[in-house]
Amino acid sequence: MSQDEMTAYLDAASALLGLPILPEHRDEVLAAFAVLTQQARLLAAFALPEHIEAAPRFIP
Amino acid sequence: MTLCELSAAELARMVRGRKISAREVVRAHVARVAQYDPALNCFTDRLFDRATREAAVLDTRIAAGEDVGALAGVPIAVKNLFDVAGIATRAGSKILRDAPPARADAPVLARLIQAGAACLGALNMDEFAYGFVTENAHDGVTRNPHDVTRVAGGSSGGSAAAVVAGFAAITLGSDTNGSIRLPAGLCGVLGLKPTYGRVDRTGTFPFVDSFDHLGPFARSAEDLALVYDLIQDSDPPGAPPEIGRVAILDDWFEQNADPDMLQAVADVAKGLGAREKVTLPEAKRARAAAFCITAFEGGQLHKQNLIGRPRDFDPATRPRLLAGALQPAETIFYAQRFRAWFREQARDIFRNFDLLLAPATPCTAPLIGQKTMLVNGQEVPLRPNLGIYTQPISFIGLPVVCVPVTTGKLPRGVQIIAAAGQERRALAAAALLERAGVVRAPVARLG
Repeated sequence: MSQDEMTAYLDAASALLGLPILPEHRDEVLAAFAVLTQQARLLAAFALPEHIEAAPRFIP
Repeated sequence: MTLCELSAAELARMVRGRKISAREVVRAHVARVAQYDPALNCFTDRLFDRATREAAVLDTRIAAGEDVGALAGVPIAVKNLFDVAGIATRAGSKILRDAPPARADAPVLARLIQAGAACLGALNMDEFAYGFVTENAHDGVTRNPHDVTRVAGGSSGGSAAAVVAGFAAITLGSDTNGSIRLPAGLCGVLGLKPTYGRVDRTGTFPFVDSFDHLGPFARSAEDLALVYDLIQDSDPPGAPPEIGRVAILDDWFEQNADPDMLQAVADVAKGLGAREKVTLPEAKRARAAAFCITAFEGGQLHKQNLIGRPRDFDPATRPRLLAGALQPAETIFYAQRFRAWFREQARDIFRNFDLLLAPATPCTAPLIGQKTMLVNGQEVPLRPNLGIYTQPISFIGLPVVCVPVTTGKLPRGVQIIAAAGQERRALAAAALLERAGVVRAPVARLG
Protein backbone atom coordinates (compact mmCIF):
# COMPACT_ATOMS: atom_id res chain seq x y z
CA MET A 1 0.00 0.00 0.00
CA SER A 2 1.44 3.36 -0.98
CA GLN A 3 1.50 6.35 1.34
CA ASP A 4 -1.36 7.91 -0.64
CA GLU A 5 -3.44 4.74 -0.42
CA MET A 6 -2.81 4.51 3.31
CA THR A 7 -3.83 8.14 3.80
CA ALA A 8 -6.98 7.55 1.74
CA TYR A 9 -7.85 4.46 3.80
CA LEU A 10 -7.33 6.31 7.10
CA ASP A 11 -9.50 9.21 5.96
CA ALA A 12 -12.25 6.85 4.83
CA ALA A 13 -12.11 4.72 7.99
CA SER A 14 -12.01 7.82 10.17
CA ALA A 15 -15.17 9.14 8.49
CA LEU A 16 -16.94 5.77 8.47
CA LEU A 17 -16.22 5.04 12.15
CA GLY A 18 -16.77 8.61 13.34
CA LEU A 19 -13.29 8.89 14.76
CA PRO A 20 -11.79 12.16 13.52
CA ILE A 21 -8.04 12.80 13.43
CA LEU A 22 -7.01 16.37 14.26
CA PRO A 23 -4.76 17.98 11.63
CA GLU A 24 -1.88 18.28 14.11
CA HIS A 25 -2.12 14.53 14.84
CA ARG A 26 -2.29 13.28 11.25
CA ASP A 27 1.40 12.60 10.71
CA GLU A 28 1.87 10.67 13.96
CA VAL A 29 -1.27 8.59 13.34
CA LEU A 30 -0.14 7.84 9.79
CA ALA A 31 3.26 6.71 11.13
CA ALA A 32 1.61 4.47 13.74
CA PHE A 33 -0.72 3.03 11.11
CA ALA A 34 2.23 2.25 8.85
CA VAL A 35 3.80 0.20 11.66
CA LEU A 36 0.53 -1.65 12.23
CA THR A 37 0.15 -2.31 8.52
CA GLN A 38 3.65 -3.79 8.42
CA GLN A 39 2.75 -6.15 11.28
CA ALA A 40 -0.62 -7.01 9.71
CA ARG A 41 1.09 -7.91 6.42
CA LEU A 42 3.52 -10.19 8.22
CA LEU A 43 0.58 -11.94 9.85
CA ALA A 44 -1.49 -12.17 6.68
CA ALA A 45 1.41 -13.80 4.84
CA PHE A 46 0.90 -16.90 6.97
CA ALA A 47 -1.69 -19.29 5.59
CA LEU A 48 -3.79 -20.53 8.49
CA PRO A 49 -5.57 -23.88 8.12
CA GLU A 50 -9.24 -23.31 7.32
CA HIS A 51 -10.54 -25.11 10.41
CA ILE A 52 -8.87 -22.70 12.88
CA GLU A 53 -11.49 -20.68 14.75
CA ALA A 54 -10.89 -17.28 16.35
CA ALA A 55 -9.62 -17.49 19.92
CA PRO A 56 -12.28 -15.60 21.89
CA ARG A 57 -15.38 -17.74 21.95
CA PHE A 58 -18.79 -16.98 23.32
CA ILE A 59 -19.68 -19.58 25.91
CA PRO A 60 -23.38 -19.44 26.82
CA MET B 1 20.02 -5.96 57.00
CA THR B 2 17.57 -3.06 57.44
CA LEU B 3 13.80 -3.48 57.69
CA CYS B 4 13.38 -2.22 54.13
CA GLU B 5 15.61 -5.00 52.80
CA LEU B 6 13.68 -7.86 54.41
CA SER B 7 11.26 -9.95 52.41
CA ALA B 8 7.53 -9.84 53.01
CA ALA B 9 7.63 -13.32 54.56
CA GLU B 10 10.41 -12.30 56.95
CA LEU B 11 8.66 -9.08 57.94
CA ALA B 12 5.37 -10.88 58.56
CA ARG B 13 7.09 -13.54 60.67
CA MET B 14 8.69 -10.81 62.82
CA VAL B 15 5.44 -8.89 63.19
CA ARG B 16 3.42 -11.99 64.05
CA GLY B 17 6.13 -13.04 66.53
CA ARG B 18 5.97 -9.57 68.15
CA LYS B 19 9.66 -8.96 67.48
CA ILE B 20 8.65 -5.68 65.88
CA SER B 21 5.39 -3.80 65.50
CA ALA B 22 3.62 -3.27 62.20
CA ARG B 23 3.79 0.46 62.89
CA GLU B 24 7.60 0.34 63.11
CA VAL B 25 7.77 -1.54 59.80
CA VAL B 26 5.50 0.98 58.08
CA ARG B 27 7.37 3.91 59.63
CA ALA B 28 10.69 2.66 58.25
CA HIS B 29 9.26 2.26 54.74
CA VAL B 30 7.49 5.63 54.84
CA ALA B 31 10.79 7.28 55.81
CA ARG B 32 12.59 5.58 52.92
CA VAL B 33 9.93 6.62 50.40
CA ALA B 34 10.00 10.21 51.71
CA GLN B 35 13.80 10.34 51.42
CA TYR B 36 14.39 8.68 48.08
CA ASP B 37 11.23 8.71 45.99
CA PRO B 38 11.56 12.37 44.94
CA ALA B 39 14.55 11.22 42.88
CA LEU B 40 12.93 8.02 41.56
CA ASN B 41 9.25 9.00 41.12
CA CYS B 42 7.69 5.62 41.81
CA PHE B 43 4.63 6.91 43.66
CA THR B 44 1.79 8.91 42.13
CA ASP B 45 -0.24 8.82 45.36
CA ARG B 46 1.24 8.53 48.84
CA LEU B 47 -1.20 7.14 51.38
CA PHE B 48 1.01 7.15 54.45
CA ASP B 49 -1.86 7.91 56.84
CA ARG B 50 -3.80 4.95 55.51
CA ALA B 51 -0.83 2.59 55.87
CA THR B 52 -0.17 3.83 59.39
CA ARG B 53 -3.82 3.29 60.35
CA GLU B 54 -3.79 -0.23 58.89
CA ALA B 55 -0.60 -1.02 60.82
CA ALA B 56 -2.07 0.33 64.06
CA VAL B 57 -5.19 -1.82 63.65
CA LEU B 58 -3.00 -4.83 63.02
CA ASP B 59 -0.88 -4.19 66.12
CA THR B 60 -4.07 -3.99 68.19
CA ARG B 61 -5.28 -7.30 66.77
CA ILE B 62 -1.93 -8.96 67.48
CA ALA B 63 -2.00 -7.64 71.05
CA ALA B 64 -5.45 -9.21 71.37
CA GLY B 65 -4.03 -12.57 70.31
CA GLU B 66 -5.72 -12.69 66.89
CA ASP B 67 -4.35 -14.64 63.93
CA VAL B 68 -3.47 -11.81 61.55
CA GLY B 69 -2.53 -13.39 58.24
CA ALA B 70 0.41 -14.09 55.98
CA LEU B 71 1.28 -10.45 55.19
CA ALA B 72 1.11 -9.09 58.73
CA GLY B 73 2.53 -5.57 58.69
CA VAL B 74 3.94 -5.84 55.16
CA PRO B 75 4.02 -2.52 53.27
CA ILE B 76 2.62 -2.85 49.77
CA ALA B 77 1.65 -0.53 46.91
CA VAL B 78 -0.21 -0.92 43.61
CA LYS B 79 0.00 0.37 40.04
CA ASN B 80 -2.44 3.24 39.73
CA LEU B 81 -4.87 1.28 37.59
CA PHE B 82 -6.03 -0.68 40.66
CA ASP B 83 -8.96 0.81 42.55
CA VAL B 84 -7.71 2.19 45.85
CA ALA B 85 -10.49 3.43 48.10
CA GLY B 86 -10.58 7.20 48.30
CA ILE B 87 -8.52 8.10 45.21
CA ALA B 88 -9.34 8.28 41.51
CA THR B 89 -8.15 5.30 39.44
CA ARG B 90 -6.25 7.23 36.77
CA ALA B 91 -4.31 4.51 34.94
CA GLY B 92 -1.56 7.03 34.33
CA SER B 93 -3.83 9.42 32.45
CA LYS B 94 -4.82 13.05 32.62
CA ILE B 95 -8.28 12.17 31.33
CA LEU B 96 -9.22 10.19 34.45
CA ARG B 97 -7.72 12.72 36.84
CA ASP B 98 -11.18 14.07 37.68
CA ALA B 99 -12.85 10.68 37.97
CA PRO B 100 -14.70 10.09 41.24
CA PRO B 101 -12.60 8.41 43.92
CA ALA B 102 -12.87 4.62 44.07
CA ARG B 103 -15.37 3.58 46.71
CA ALA B 104 -13.52 0.36 47.58
CA ASP B 105 -10.20 -1.33 46.99
CA ALA B 106 -9.94 -3.69 44.01
CA PRO B 107 -10.67 -7.23 45.27
CA VAL B 108 -7.04 -8.36 44.80
CA LEU B 109 -5.79 -5.43 46.88
CA ALA B 110 -8.50 -6.09 49.48
CA ARG B 111 -7.26 -9.67 49.79
CA LEU B 112 -3.72 -8.48 50.60
CA ILE B 113 -5.04 -6.00 53.16
CA GLN B 114 -7.16 -8.77 54.68
CA ALA B 115 -3.95 -10.79 55.04
CA GLY B 116 -2.41 -7.98 57.11
CA ALA B 117 -0.70 -5.76 54.51
CA ALA B 118 -0.59 -1.96 54.75
CA CYS B 119 -1.09 0.03 51.54
CA LEU B 120 1.41 2.86 51.07
CA GLY B 121 -0.11 4.21 47.87
CA ALA B 122 -0.38 4.03 44.09
CA LEU B 123 2.46 3.76 41.59
CA ASN B 124 3.46 5.31 38.29
CA MET B 125 2.89 3.66 34.91
CA ASP B 126 2.70 4.34 31.18
CA GLU B 127 -0.57 6.03 30.26
CA PHE B 128 -3.37 3.46 30.09
CA ALA B 129 -0.66 0.75 30.42
CA TYR B 130 0.30 1.25 26.76
CA GLY B 131 4.09 1.38 26.92
CA PHE B 132 7.30 -0.26 28.08
CA VAL B 133 9.22 2.65 29.61
CA THR B 134 7.11 4.54 32.24
CA GLU B 135 8.04 7.88 30.77
CA ASN B 136 4.63 9.36 31.50
CA ALA B 137 3.81 12.80 30.04
CA HIS B 138 1.53 13.64 32.98
CA ASP B 139 3.25 12.01 35.96
CA GLY B 140 6.87 12.08 34.84
CA VAL B 141 9.43 9.33 34.35
CA THR B 142 10.11 6.60 36.90
CA ARG B 143 13.85 6.14 37.20
CA ASN B 144 15.61 2.81 37.53
CA PRO B 145 16.91 2.52 41.12
CA HIS B 146 20.06 0.72 39.90
CA ASP B 147 20.94 3.63 37.59
CA VAL B 148 18.77 6.74 37.71
CA THR B 149 19.75 7.74 34.17
CA ARG B 150 17.86 4.67 32.90
CA VAL B 151 14.21 3.69 32.62
CA ALA B 152 12.51 1.30 35.00
CA GLY B 153 10.63 -0.36 32.15
CA GLY B 154 6.87 -0.41 31.85
CA SER B 155 4.11 -0.24 31.94
CA SER B 156 4.28 -1.25 35.63
CA GLY B 157 7.52 0.71 36.08
CA GLY B 158 6.60 2.24 39.43
CA SER B 159 5.68 -1.20 40.77
CA ALA B 160 9.01 -2.79 39.85
CA ALA B 161 11.14 0.18 40.89
CA ALA B 162 9.38 0.51 44.27
CA VAL B 163 10.27 -3.08 45.17
CA VAL B 164 13.93 -2.85 44.22
CA ALA B 165 14.17 0.56 45.93
CA GLY B 166 13.03 -1.04 49.20
CA PHE B 167 9.90 1.13 49.34
CA ALA B 168 7.55 -1.87 49.57
CA ALA B 169 8.20 -5.60 49.90
CA ILE B 170 5.31 -6.39 47.55
CA THR B 171 3.63 -4.46 44.77
CA LEU B 172 0.95 -5.32 42.26
CA GLY B 173 1.01 -4.58 38.54
CA SER B 174 -0.62 -5.63 35.30
CA ASP B 175 0.78 -7.34 32.22
CA THR B 176 -0.85 -7.17 28.78
CA ASN B 177 2.20 -7.56 26.54
CA GLY B 178 5.00 -7.74 29.12
CA SER B 179 4.22 -4.98 31.60
CA ILE B 180 5.13 -7.09 34.65
CA ARG B 181 7.96 -9.17 33.17
CA LEU B 182 9.70 -6.35 31.35
CA PRO B 183 10.09 -3.88 34.28
CA ALA B 184 10.84 -6.77 36.64
CA GLY B 185 13.74 -7.74 34.39
CA LEU B 186 15.05 -4.21 33.90
CA CYS B 187 14.83 -3.36 37.62
CA GLY B 188 16.10 -6.69 38.95
CA VAL B 189 13.12 -8.05 40.89
CA LEU B 190 10.90 -11.09 40.48
CA GLY B 191 7.56 -10.75 38.75
CA LEU B 192 4.74 -13.22 38.21
CA LYS B 193 2.33 -13.07 35.31
CA PRO B 194 -0.20 -15.79 36.09
CA THR B 195 -2.18 -17.76 33.51
CA TYR B 196 -4.69 -15.62 31.60
CA GLY B 197 -7.96 -15.60 33.53
CA ARG B 198 -6.45 -16.91 36.76
CA VAL B 199 -6.70 -13.66 38.76
CA ASP B 200 -9.91 -11.62 39.00
CA ARG B 201 -9.48 -8.25 37.25
CA THR B 202 -12.48 -6.62 38.90
CA GLY B 203 -11.71 -3.13 40.16
CA THR B 204 -8.82 -2.52 37.79
CA PHE B 205 -8.81 -0.25 34.75
CA PRO B 206 -8.65 -2.41 31.61
CA PHE B 207 -6.45 -2.09 28.55
CA VAL B 208 -6.85 -5.11 26.25
CA ASP B 209 -9.43 -7.60 27.43
CA SER B 210 -7.89 -10.38 25.33
CA PHE B 211 -4.51 -10.17 27.09
CA ASP B 212 -4.82 -8.34 30.44
CA HIS B 213 -3.35 -10.09 33.49
CA LEU B 214 -2.67 -8.96 37.09
CA GLY B 215 0.27 -10.11 39.17
CA PRO B 216 2.82 -9.33 41.89
CA PHE B 217 6.40 -8.09 42.11
CA ALA B 218 8.68 -9.17 44.97
CA ARG B 219 12.33 -9.71 45.91
CA SER B 220 11.96 -13.45 46.56
CA ALA B 221 10.21 -16.45 45.05
CA GLU B 222 8.69 -17.19 48.46
CA ASP B 223 7.01 -13.78 48.47
CA LEU B 224 5.68 -14.22 44.93
CA ALA B 225 4.19 -17.57 45.93
CA LEU B 226 2.72 -16.04 49.07
CA VAL B 227 0.89 -13.40 47.08
CA TYR B 228 -0.12 -15.88 44.39
CA ASP B 229 -1.86 -17.97 47.07
CA LEU B 230 -3.72 -14.90 48.28
CA ILE B 231 -4.96 -13.47 44.98
CA GLN B 232 -6.48 -16.56 43.38
CA ASP B 233 -8.64 -19.51 44.41
CA SER B 234 -8.47 -22.00 41.56
CA ASP B 235 -4.96 -23.35 42.28
CA PRO B 236 -4.85 -24.37 45.96
CA PRO B 237 -1.47 -24.71 47.71
CA GLY B 238 0.11 -28.14 47.68
CA ALA B 239 3.50 -29.82 47.56
CA PRO B 240 5.83 -27.98 45.14
CA PRO B 241 5.84 -29.73 41.76
CA GLU B 242 8.92 -31.20 40.12
CA ILE B 243 10.81 -28.76 37.90
CA GLY B 244 10.64 -31.32 35.08
CA ARG B 245 12.29 -30.94 31.68
CA VAL B 246 13.47 -27.45 30.82
CA ALA B 247 14.36 -26.11 27.37
CA ILE B 248 15.68 -22.83 26.02
CA LEU B 249 13.55 -21.15 23.36
CA ASP B 250 15.65 -20.48 20.25
CA ASP B 251 14.94 -18.82 16.89
CA TRP B 252 12.96 -15.59 17.54
CA PHE B 253 13.94 -15.57 21.23
CA GLU B 254 17.66 -15.54 20.47
CA GLN B 255 17.89 -13.61 17.22
CA ASN B 256 17.86 -10.04 18.44
CA ALA B 257 19.19 -10.30 21.98
CA ASP B 258 22.39 -8.78 23.33
CA PRO B 259 24.96 -11.47 24.19
CA ASP B 260 24.66 -10.48 27.87
CA MET B 261 20.97 -11.35 27.83
CA LEU B 262 21.62 -14.74 26.24
CA GLN B 263 24.28 -15.38 28.89
CA ALA B 264 21.68 -14.72 31.60
CA VAL B 265 19.39 -17.29 29.95
CA ALA B 266 22.32 -19.73 29.81
CA ASP B 267 23.02 -19.16 33.53
CA VAL B 268 19.41 -19.90 34.41
CA ALA B 269 19.39 -22.93 32.10
CA LYS B 270 22.48 -24.31 33.80
CA GLY B 271 20.88 -23.78 37.21
CA LEU B 272 17.86 -25.79 36.08
CA GLY B 273 19.84 -28.49 34.28
CA ALA B 274 18.49 -27.50 30.86
CA ARG B 275 20.55 -28.49 27.83
CA GLU B 276 18.06 -28.69 25.00
CA LYS B 277 16.70 -25.97 22.76
CA VAL B 278 13.28 -25.85 21.19
CA THR B 279 11.55 -23.62 18.65
CA LEU B 280 8.19 -22.00 19.28
CA PRO B 281 7.19 -21.62 15.63
CA GLU B 282 6.07 -18.31 14.16
CA ALA B 283 6.73 -16.33 17.36
CA LYS B 284 7.45 -13.32 15.17
CA ARG B 285 3.93 -13.49 13.76
CA ALA B 286 2.50 -14.09 17.25
CA ARG B 287 4.10 -10.85 18.29
CA ALA B 288 2.65 -9.12 15.21
CA ALA B 289 -0.83 -10.44 16.02
CA ALA B 290 -0.56 -9.29 19.64
CA PHE B 291 0.62 -5.89 18.39
CA CYS B 292 -2.44 -5.42 16.16
CA ILE B 293 -5.03 -6.73 18.64
CA THR B 294 -3.58 -4.55 21.39
CA ALA B 295 -3.83 -1.37 19.34
CA PHE B 296 -7.33 -2.27 18.18
CA GLU B 297 -8.87 -3.20 21.54
CA GLY B 298 -7.09 -0.32 23.27
CA GLY B 299 -8.26 2.12 20.61
CA GLN B 300 -11.83 0.89 20.81
CA LEU B 301 -11.80 1.14 24.61
CA HIS B 302 -10.74 4.79 24.48
CA LYS B 303 -12.71 5.78 21.38
CA GLN B 304 -15.02 8.29 23.06
CA ASN B 305 -12.10 10.19 24.62
CA LEU B 306 -10.12 9.99 21.37
CA ILE B 307 -13.08 11.80 19.81
CA GLY B 308 -13.80 14.21 22.64
CA ARG B 309 -10.44 14.89 24.29
CA PRO B 310 -7.67 13.86 21.86
CA ARG B 311 -5.27 16.54 23.10
CA ASP B 312 -5.43 15.20 26.67
CA PHE B 313 -3.74 11.90 25.81
CA ASP B 314 -0.04 11.31 26.30
CA PRO B 315 1.56 11.98 22.89
CA ALA B 316 3.26 8.57 23.13
CA THR B 317 -0.09 6.81 23.49
CA ARG B 318 -2.51 8.77 21.28
CA PRO B 319 -1.31 7.90 17.77
CA ARG B 320 -1.17 4.16 18.48
CA LEU B 321 -4.69 4.15 19.93
CA LEU B 322 -6.10 6.19 17.04
CA ALA B 323 -4.37 4.10 14.38
CA GLY B 324 -5.29 0.92 16.22
CA ALA B 325 -8.99 1.74 16.34
CA LEU B 326 -9.02 2.33 12.57
CA GLN B 327 -7.58 -1.05 11.57
CA PRO B 328 -9.69 -3.26 9.29
CA ALA B 329 -11.73 -5.95 11.04
CA GLU B 330 -10.05 -8.56 8.82
CA THR B 331 -6.71 -8.00 10.53
CA ILE B 332 -8.12 -8.45 14.01
CA PHE B 333 -10.18 -11.50 13.11
CA TYR B 334 -7.15 -13.13 11.48
CA ALA B 335 -4.99 -12.26 14.49
CA GLN B 336 -7.49 -13.94 16.82
CA ARG B 337 -7.54 -17.02 14.60
CA PHE B 338 -3.75 -17.04 14.61
CA ARG B 339 -3.88 -16.92 18.40
CA ALA B 340 -5.76 -20.21 18.48
CA TRP B 341 -3.24 -21.78 16.08
CA PHE B 342 -0.25 -20.50 18.04
CA ARG B 343 -1.68 -21.85 21.31
CA GLU B 344 -1.64 -25.33 19.73
CA GLN B 345 2.03 -24.96 18.80
CA ALA B 346 2.86 -24.16 22.44
CA ARG B 347 0.77 -27.09 23.66
CA ASP B 348 2.77 -29.38 21.39
CA ILE B 349 6.01 -28.19 22.94
CA PHE B 350 4.69 -28.72 26.47
CA ARG B 351 4.11 -32.39 25.63
CA ASN B 352 7.90 -32.76 25.73
CA PHE B 353 8.97 -30.00 28.11
CA ASP B 354 7.69 -28.55 31.37
CA LEU B 355 9.39 -25.15 31.40
CA LEU B 356 10.75 -22.88 28.68
CA LEU B 357 13.34 -20.13 29.05
CA ALA B 358 13.66 -16.85 27.17
CA PRO B 359 15.06 -13.38 27.82
CA ALA B 360 12.58 -10.83 29.15
CA THR B 361 14.09 -8.07 27.01
CA PRO B 362 16.62 -7.83 24.17
CA CYS B 363 18.87 -5.57 26.29
CA THR B 364 19.38 -4.16 29.77
CA ALA B 365 17.63 -0.95 30.89
CA PRO B 366 17.86 1.75 28.18
CA LEU B 367 18.62 5.37 28.95
CA ILE B 368 15.74 7.71 29.74
CA GLY B 369 14.64 9.40 26.51
CA GLN B 370 16.43 6.87 24.32
CA LYS B 371 14.56 6.52 21.01
CA THR B 372 16.36 3.67 19.29
CA MET B 373 18.39 0.60 20.16
CA LEU B 374 20.80 -1.64 18.33
CA VAL B 375 19.75 -5.20 17.57
CA ASN B 376 22.10 -7.32 15.52
CA GLY B 377 23.90 -4.13 14.55
CA GLN B 378 20.71 -2.54 13.21
CA GLU B 379 19.16 0.57 14.70
CA VAL B 380 15.46 0.00 15.49
CA PRO B 381 12.86 2.06 17.42
CA LEU B 382 13.20 1.32 21.13
CA ARG B 383 9.67 1.44 22.50
CA PRO B 384 7.91 -1.12 20.31
CA ASN B 385 10.87 -3.50 20.34
CA LEU B 386 11.48 -3.82 24.09
CA GLY B 387 8.60 -6.31 24.32
CA ILE B 388 9.47 -8.61 21.44
CA TYR B 389 10.11 -11.60 23.75
CA THR B 390 7.23 -11.05 26.15
CA GLN B 391 4.43 -10.36 23.64
CA PRO B 392 4.25 -13.84 22.05
CA ILE B 393 3.88 -15.42 25.51
CA SER B 394 1.11 -13.23 26.95
CA PHE B 395 -0.60 -13.54 23.53
CA ILE B 396 -1.53 -17.09 24.57
CA GLY B 397 -1.83 -16.43 28.29
CA LEU B 398 0.96 -18.68 29.57
CA PRO B 399 2.14 -18.20 33.16
CA VAL B 400 5.62 -16.73 33.56
CA VAL B 401 7.92 -15.97 36.45
CA CYS B 402 10.49 -13.38 35.45
CA VAL B 403 13.69 -13.81 37.46
CA PRO B 404 16.62 -11.38 37.67
CA VAL B 405 20.23 -12.32 37.06
CA THR B 406 22.12 -9.52 38.78
CA THR B 407 25.76 -10.40 38.35
CA GLY B 408 26.46 -7.64 35.82
CA LYS B 409 26.26 -3.86 36.10
CA LEU B 410 22.55 -3.90 35.33
CA PRO B 411 19.95 -6.64 36.00
CA ARG B 412 18.94 -9.02 33.23
CA GLY B 413 15.52 -10.64 33.34
CA VAL B 414 14.82 -14.20 32.24
CA GLN B 415 11.33 -15.56 31.63
CA ILE B 416 10.54 -18.98 33.11
CA ILE B 417 7.50 -19.98 31.07
CA ALA B 418 5.17 -22.80 32.11
CA ALA B 419 2.19 -24.49 30.50
CA ALA B 420 -1.19 -22.91 31.21
CA GLY B 421 -2.17 -23.50 34.83
CA GLN B 422 1.36 -24.49 35.92
CA GLU B 423 2.39 -21.35 37.83
CA ARG B 424 3.72 -23.41 40.74
CA ARG B 425 6.27 -25.16 38.55
CA ALA B 426 7.73 -21.82 37.45
CA LEU B 427 7.69 -20.57 41.05
CA ALA B 428 9.49 -23.74 42.18
CA ALA B 429 12.14 -23.18 39.51
CA ALA B 430 12.63 -19.59 40.68
CA ALA B 431 13.05 -20.79 44.28
CA LEU B 432 15.61 -23.40 43.16
CA LEU B 433 17.59 -20.75 41.29
CA GLU B 434 17.61 -18.55 44.39
CA ARG B 435 18.97 -21.37 46.52
CA ALA B 436 21.66 -21.97 43.90
CA GLY B 437 22.63 -18.28 43.98
CA VAL B 438 21.81 -17.77 40.29
CA VAL B 439 18.91 -15.44 40.99
CA ARG B 440 19.10 -12.57 43.48
CA ALA B 441 17.05 -9.41 43.89
CA PRO B 442 18.92 -7.18 46.34
CA VAL B 443 17.56 -3.77 47.24
CA ALA B 444 19.34 -1.12 45.17
CA ARG B 445 21.80 1.21 46.86
CA LEU B 446 20.24 4.66 46.82
CA GLY B 447 21.57 8.11 47.54
